[in-house]
Amino acid sequence: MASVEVEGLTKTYGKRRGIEDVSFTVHDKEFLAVFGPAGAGKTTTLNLIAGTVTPNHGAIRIGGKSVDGQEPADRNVAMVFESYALYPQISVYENMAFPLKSPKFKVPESEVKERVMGVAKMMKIDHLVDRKIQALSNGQSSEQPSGAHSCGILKSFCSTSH
Amino acid sequence: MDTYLGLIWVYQLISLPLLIWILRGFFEDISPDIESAAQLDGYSWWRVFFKVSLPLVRPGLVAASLLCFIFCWNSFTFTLLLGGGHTQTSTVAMNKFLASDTVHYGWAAAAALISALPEVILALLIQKHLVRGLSFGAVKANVWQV
Repeated sequence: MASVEVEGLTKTYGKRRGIEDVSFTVHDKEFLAVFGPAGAGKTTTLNLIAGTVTPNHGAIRIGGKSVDGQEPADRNVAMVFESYALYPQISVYENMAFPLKSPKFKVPESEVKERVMGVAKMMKIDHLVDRKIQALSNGQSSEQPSGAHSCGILKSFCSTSH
Repeated sequence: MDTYLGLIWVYQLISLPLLIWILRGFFEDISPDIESAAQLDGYSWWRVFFKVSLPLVRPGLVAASLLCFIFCWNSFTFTLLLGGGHTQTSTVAMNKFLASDTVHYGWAAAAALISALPEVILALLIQKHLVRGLSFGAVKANVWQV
C-alpha cells in the first residue's frame, strides 16, 4: 500500500472537459470513495491514476514518486473496470492468473496456483475457477454471488499483492 | 508474368480491403477496457494484440478468410485480363466449353459443380467457428453489460 497524491489534474477529450483541476490526497491505508452523477469524471480520474489515459495537465504521485509517463503496469496499481474487462475466451483461473503470468511480473507457476486458489477459496468461488467467463452468472441471480464480479475483483486483488 | 505467383499477388491486393473492412467491425466490438486491463496486467502493446485481441476476433478472421477465398476462387475478370495461356483458374478454363460451333452445356455444368466443391467443403469444415462467431456478440452483451 502507498499514498496517492493528485494535483491539478486536467483531462479534456477534444472540446469536452473530462475533469478540470482535480486535487486530492489519499494517505496510506486510507479508503476513498468517489461519488458523482454520470459524466462527472469519476472513471476519467481512475483511468488517469491507472495510466490508461494520459492527462493534459497535473501530476500524480504514487508512494511519493511521480508516475508521469509510466506505463500502467509499472505503477503497481490494479483496477476493476466497469465492464469487468475479463477475457471471455479463457477460464476464471486463467483470468486471475493472467497478470501474474505476464512478462512483467513472471511469478513461478507453483506460486501462481497457490495464490490464485488461495484467493478463490477465501471468496468461496473455488468451485468456479475452471469455468469460462461466458458461463458465469452476471450477478442477476440473487442466490449465488456474482461470479463475474468476484472474478474481476479477485483478479485485481491477485495482482496488487506485489 | 504469366505465373500463378503474380496472380496471387493481384488477388491479395484486391481482397485486402474486403478483409480489413470485415475485421474492423470485429475489432470495434472489443471493449477498449479489455485492452486497458491487459496493459495494466503487465503486457506490452503487441502482446495485448496477440494474446487478447486476436483470440477474440478469431471468428471474424475465419469468416473473413472464407469470404475472401470464395471471392478469389469465383473471380473471373482478373484472371481473364491478367492471366496468360499458362495461368488459368477454373472459372477461365471453363470458358473452353463454349466453342464457336456448339456449347457443351453438360461439360460446363459438371465443371462448375466440381469447381464449387472446395468452397463447400471448406465452409463445412469451418462451420463450427462461423456459428460461434454469430453467438459471440449475444454472449458478450449478456455478461458485460451491467
